[in-house]
Amino acid sequence: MTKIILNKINFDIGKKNILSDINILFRTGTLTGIVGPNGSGKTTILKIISNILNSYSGTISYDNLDYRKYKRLDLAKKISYLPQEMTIAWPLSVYNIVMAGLTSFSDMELNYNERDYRINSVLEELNLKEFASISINKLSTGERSRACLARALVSKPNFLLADEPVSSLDPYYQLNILNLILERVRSGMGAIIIMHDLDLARRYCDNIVVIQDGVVVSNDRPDISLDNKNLKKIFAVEYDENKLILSE
Amino acid sequence: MIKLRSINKYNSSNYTLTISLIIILLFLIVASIFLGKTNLLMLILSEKSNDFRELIRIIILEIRLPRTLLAFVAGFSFGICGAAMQGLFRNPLADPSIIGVTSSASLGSVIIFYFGISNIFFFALPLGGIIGATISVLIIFFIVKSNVSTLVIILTGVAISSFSSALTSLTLNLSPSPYAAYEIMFWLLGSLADKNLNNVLLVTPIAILGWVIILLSKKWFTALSLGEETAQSMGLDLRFFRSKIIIGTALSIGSIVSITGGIGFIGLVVPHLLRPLYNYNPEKLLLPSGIGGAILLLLADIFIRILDIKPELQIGVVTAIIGAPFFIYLIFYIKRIHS
Repeated sequence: MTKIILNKINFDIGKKNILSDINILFRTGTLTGIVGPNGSGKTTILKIISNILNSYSGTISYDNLDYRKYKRLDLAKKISYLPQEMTIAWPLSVYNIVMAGLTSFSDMELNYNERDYRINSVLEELNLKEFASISINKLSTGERSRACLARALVSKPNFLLADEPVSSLDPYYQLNILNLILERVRSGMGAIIIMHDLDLARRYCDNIVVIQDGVVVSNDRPDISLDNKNLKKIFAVEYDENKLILSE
Repeated sequence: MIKLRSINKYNSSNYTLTISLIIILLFLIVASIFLGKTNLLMLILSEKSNDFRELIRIIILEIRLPRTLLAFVAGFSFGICGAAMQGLFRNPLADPSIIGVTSSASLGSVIIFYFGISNIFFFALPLGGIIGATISVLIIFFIVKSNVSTLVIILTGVAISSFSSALTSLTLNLSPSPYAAYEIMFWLLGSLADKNLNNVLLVTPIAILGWVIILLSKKWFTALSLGEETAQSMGLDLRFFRSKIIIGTALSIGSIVSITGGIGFIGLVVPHLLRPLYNYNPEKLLLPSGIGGAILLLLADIFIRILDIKPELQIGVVTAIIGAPFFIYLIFYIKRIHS
């Protein structure tokens, strides 16, 4: 089992404190949800773990070795980041977009045939084979999200970090994408996903981290992290026999 | 076999196209040496005397060869740097001039010219261009160091460009001799004619060094089209990558502009025309854009030479006349795509 450990992470933008004293442990084979109100620092945590932001204080370790001791490319092969919205500059084909997911590998590590094999396997796994040569701009939002997920999964990462991967999708694609991620998690990948939908978070996550104002409020099983006490305090809602209602 | 087929499906047409472009380029290089107001091929066939052989040798070595080599190196530089800038800024309207390199290189050369330093040692003019380009690069570099957004870089480029143009105008304004001002103005129009082979040979390796720097980083261009943060999460050191592309562009464009003056729009037009043929893939577009740029500039130059207009048309004027309406078309094209 591989672990990512965040130890006393603090992050400021100018004088504004975004994250304070964050300590979290993430494991492979586990789907961890991150929930919290808008502006609570969820995306910042994901960007720090995916090595996009590195002006934090504190330490992060991957497999018990400090992040700063890794080469950038080596970490990128182990951790994939799926941003909330991907604005793609050119109308690239789905095949080319998925291929971009292998950029961190050198030609020595993955030759042309191996690259092609990996791309085709992930396209098949995500049911995208028929779209391979089609421009991403011509796909529906759901198919587009699946193509972006394929790009993040093609490198066979140990951890997938996804920023609200299903929040703008139809119910079919919401379940479809979460099921695809869950399948990978059951076969050993770790997933850290920012979730907006609390019902989906309860249903899919093995563990939920609740964040408010840059501070971890809870880090536990879904039924404990999203118990009525926390829900009332953070979101001003509560469960009434499995139905989410406004708290009084 | 299935695996191989699927690779070929996406790449074989690209190879064929690139090879076709190379063949056209080679043909135009030969044509550029032999075609012009004096048709050398006819001369060689009709005249056999030693005097004429000497004349042909002089025409080729002193006039045609520097001009052809310069058209090739300049066109290639504008094309590849245009594609690189567009890939870096993820914007089809980007051009080497956008980061102010072209205008600051012009300014550097104009200053050298104005103070007569170009008469003191022969490589002063290219050196002025490179120094001008380097200054703009250092300003951009300083700004990139603080990891700002692309928009800030583009706006800085616009500011550098305007400032350089203003200083160039000031130089013209203060010029004591109307002849010097006239010469500078003509040089600013952009030309490949009457260049010294030594100067061309001096800037060629510098321009090629710029191409190599750009081509060595090409694999990150596709990753970058998915967004700066996504590319960073894929292992791209964005600051280092930007610096390399900007330095590569400064070396190529700075050295070339010091010899040719302002030739614009090649870097804008060529990548745009070739992009759909290379499946919009920015990394595969770099080399063909260089070849395409060289083809376009050689074609334009041969066209000017064949046209019997005196004084000869300045190539910068011709590329601007074709390029500026194209730029407007491009703005409408992008607007239509977005709507």
